Amino acid sequence: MEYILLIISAALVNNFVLSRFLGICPFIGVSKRTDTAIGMSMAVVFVITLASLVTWLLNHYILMTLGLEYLQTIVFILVIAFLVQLVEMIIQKVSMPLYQALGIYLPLITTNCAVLGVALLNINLKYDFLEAVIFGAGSAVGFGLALIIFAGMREEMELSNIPKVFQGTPIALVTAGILSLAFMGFSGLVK
Amino acid sequence: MLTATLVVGGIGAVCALILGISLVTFAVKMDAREKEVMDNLPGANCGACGFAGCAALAHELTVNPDTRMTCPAVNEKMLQAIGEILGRDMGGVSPVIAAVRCRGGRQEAPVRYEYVGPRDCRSAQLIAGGPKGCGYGCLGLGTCATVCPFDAMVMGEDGLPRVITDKCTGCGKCVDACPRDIIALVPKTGNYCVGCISQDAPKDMKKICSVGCIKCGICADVCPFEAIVSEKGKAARIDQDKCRKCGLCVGVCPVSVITSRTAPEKARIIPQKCKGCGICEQVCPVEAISGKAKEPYRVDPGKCMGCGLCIEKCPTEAIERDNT
Repeated sequence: MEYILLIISAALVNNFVLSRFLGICPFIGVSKRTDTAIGMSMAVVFVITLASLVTWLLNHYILMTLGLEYLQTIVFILVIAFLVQLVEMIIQKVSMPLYQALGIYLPLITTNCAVLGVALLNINLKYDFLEAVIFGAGSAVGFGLALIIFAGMREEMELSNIPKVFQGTPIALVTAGILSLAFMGFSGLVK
Repeated sequence: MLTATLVVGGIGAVCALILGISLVTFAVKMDAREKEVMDNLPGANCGACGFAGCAALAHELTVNPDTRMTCPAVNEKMLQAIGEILGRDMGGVSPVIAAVRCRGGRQEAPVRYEYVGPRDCRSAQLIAGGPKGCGYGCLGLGTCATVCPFDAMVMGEDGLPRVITDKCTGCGKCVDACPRDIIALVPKTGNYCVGCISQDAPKDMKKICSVGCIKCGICADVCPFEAIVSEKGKAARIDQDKCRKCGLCVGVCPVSVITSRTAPEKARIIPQKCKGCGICEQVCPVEAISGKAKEPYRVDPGKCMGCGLCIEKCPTEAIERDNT
């Protein structure tokens, strides 16, 4: 039960894009079409889950033992970048279809603040190992959800009559704001 | 301090080692040409080609011989290298040809004085700003035709140069030679161009030329893609990057000063593929598409201007260009 609440909290209540305002760049950048949004979401779920798993272990067994917690940011970036490279190579060898589905999004998401954000939040919120992984996966699913919903809305907006001054990015930002308001409705769900 | 350096350095070294090993262990055989093509692409992964990054475009180009080079950032050298690797012609970098932006011949735009000096526009321009009544019009002495290395320009009977489309390579020599900047480079296909660059007020211009742009701005209003710039007191200008070759401006221009040599290819709906969603009807800027929901829609070829918006938006790829 606790874990389910954690997922709901991470995915909906404290949605990464819409409440914490992390990962805005891909949120605006790859939300023009639903299929690219889905590709990106898959890559995000994959990378964040993996990153939270590895960074927690690293922090717990290496950094904390040596009393080097202040190195968290730099070491996490290093390790996440390494990990994604490695995984990309393995996927390319093992499963070509999956590689093609994730495509360019896998390396692109590596250096995103949302990924590093999850890794650092895991430490700050003092989660244990399982909680950290679940929190990571939940956050990533929330990110993907927001991205796909937003992409769907933007696809519809392509066909609607938008005043000239709002066309393009302005209306996208306004929509993102309204979507964020909508997600605030979840705020009472989990304490 | 030392521990910190050692830890970060150590982690980095271990990561590098593993990556190095796995680079060999997990090496995937791919078409050698794909790698070479990839090396000749800009590598910015901007996605402007329509594929997910340079690698995807390289893959597509190698595997599918029908793929066109859609990368906007590649230069002539890269293009040639890729063409050699794949053994097929990649086309030019946005092929352009020269277009003369003046239609005022001897009849339409008379001269102020008779010029008898050297037969060269640049010389003529020096004598009181040239003999032509209109300060923006073609002097008609054929310097552009003289400098053209490909004989792609000939002077017509009316004293205006004509561009021979097949011969013009878009080298731009005539553009540099023209003392009045009348010649511009336009895309080879669908070369819509305003045949006037006058900045005179319409009523002044009418006294010296009967065919110039009257700066009414109707073309800019009607253009669905905002590709026409109509500034106050300047002849309309077409932004070739935005122009979708729909040809709508040609029809509305009251003085017929906008021209093109190529007719637009109209849209055609393939009834078997059309699901009747009606998106095409909504996006069509000229209401050329009609039909009932859930039934195949139809394009009215009389109204369609070939802008291609519907083709882009059709979710079932049921619309194609009718090139018959």
